[in-house]
Amino acid sequence: MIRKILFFLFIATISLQARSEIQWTPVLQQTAMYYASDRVTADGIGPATGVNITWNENFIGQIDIGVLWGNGNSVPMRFALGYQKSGKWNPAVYGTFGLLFGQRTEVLSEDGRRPAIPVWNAGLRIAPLRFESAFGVASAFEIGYGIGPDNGTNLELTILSVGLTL
Amino acid sequence: MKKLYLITVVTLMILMMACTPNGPDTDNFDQAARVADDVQTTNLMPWVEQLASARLNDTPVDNEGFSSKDLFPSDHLTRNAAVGIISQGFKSMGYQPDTIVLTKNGQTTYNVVVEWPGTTRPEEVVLVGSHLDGFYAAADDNGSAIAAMLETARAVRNHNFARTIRFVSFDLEEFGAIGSTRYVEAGYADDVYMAIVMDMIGYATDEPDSQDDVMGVKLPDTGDFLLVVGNNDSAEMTEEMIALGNSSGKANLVGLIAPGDGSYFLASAFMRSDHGLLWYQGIPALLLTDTGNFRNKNYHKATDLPETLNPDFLAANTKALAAAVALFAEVL
Repeated sequence: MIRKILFFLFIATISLQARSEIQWTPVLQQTAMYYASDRVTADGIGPATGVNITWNENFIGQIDIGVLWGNGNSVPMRFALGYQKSGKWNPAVYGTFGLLFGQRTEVLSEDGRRPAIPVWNAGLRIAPLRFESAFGVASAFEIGYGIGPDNGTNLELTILSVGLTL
Repeated sequence: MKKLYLITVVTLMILMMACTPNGPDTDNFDQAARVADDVQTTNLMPWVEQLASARLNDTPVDNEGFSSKDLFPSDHLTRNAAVGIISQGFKSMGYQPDTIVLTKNGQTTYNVVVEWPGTTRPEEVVLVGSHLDGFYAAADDNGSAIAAMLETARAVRNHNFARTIRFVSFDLEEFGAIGSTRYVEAGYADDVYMAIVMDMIGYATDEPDSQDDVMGVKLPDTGDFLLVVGNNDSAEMTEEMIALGNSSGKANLVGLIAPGDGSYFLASAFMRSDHGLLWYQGIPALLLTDTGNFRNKNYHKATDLPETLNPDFLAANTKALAAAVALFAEVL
């Protein structure tokens, strides 16, 4: 699993470096998440790391992976594409897609089958308290909502996200 | 564009590597289901009624150190009459019950045990457990499970199994699984290969929105199912029991697997019975429950009476139990 994730991050990083107009920023963050569907419940709070990407000033993306503690070790991998306001205070809104690996509480199907791994979810995330300077980006209390299979609902709170521009 | 292509390709690769687990092995399902056919469902409610009636005239357990409060009426917990009824019930079936008496800190527990010996691998024990203590009449909690255990104990005597089946009525579950904890700590569970523990299996309703979720875990809205709870060690058992019970049409089972050993905080509600210490010990174990206070409004109240139970639900669950025991003990 770890090898797959590292491979993905490596590929993503290499591909972004090829374009000079793109600014990429490694980020560290503290995330809380609650995902519940008819088949899967995963939740917790924990650290995450990833890459924040900005191009053409207003377009942003983020890829991150974390660990959630609370109901075992859940591993959310999140992809986000969005738009940010220009300036030092630059709130943003993202469209998100997430994959949830790791431990979770599972409800079996009628014939005794466990739900698939990973579980996907898609939704929106808003970052109202997002600030940028020459040194990097900081954002607090990003709120996300998403949906997933089997009546899944995903609630996210990125408590704090900090990145240094390289 | 190239970058987007790469990201898409890698994402698809990850999705393709995603795991969709296979279903459980269904070998021997037919043989196991035949054992369930020997369950006499008309035997069940009389057990519940006898236990409930006896409890109301029994002397409560000394509850010093366990102050009484809402949903924990410790001054109404009884066990003595249940020990006698269960022991006598086993005797009437031809068993020789053993009452394991364990005393610690001035408090004594009485666990009632019988065995149906295995023929080819008798050293591997399948434990079937349910607690014998209860508040007030305790029809659902836990007369329903005791009745299912007694009837299953009777039904299995018509068959031979590879493994030994051990039926254990644990004492003082309501005070914190004391009886089962002492049983495990004293080494009596060292030969337990796997276990099925029942706690409240007789209450069901088909009213919509009658089922509450359990600590954020979504369950079906209608409380008409038996929840079969496993952990990582008993995941395979859970899969097999769900497939067996539902495919044979004997019960409406919902299977749930808690992460890890089941002790993580947000799943800890599923450890609330005599299987808890078995999970800690790494022994594969299932909990069978109607989810108690997440469905039954009579939980730990004087209104937990036999007439509030659903006899058809209890009958179906007992058949599912008997079939699962037969499967796990490997009926011959």
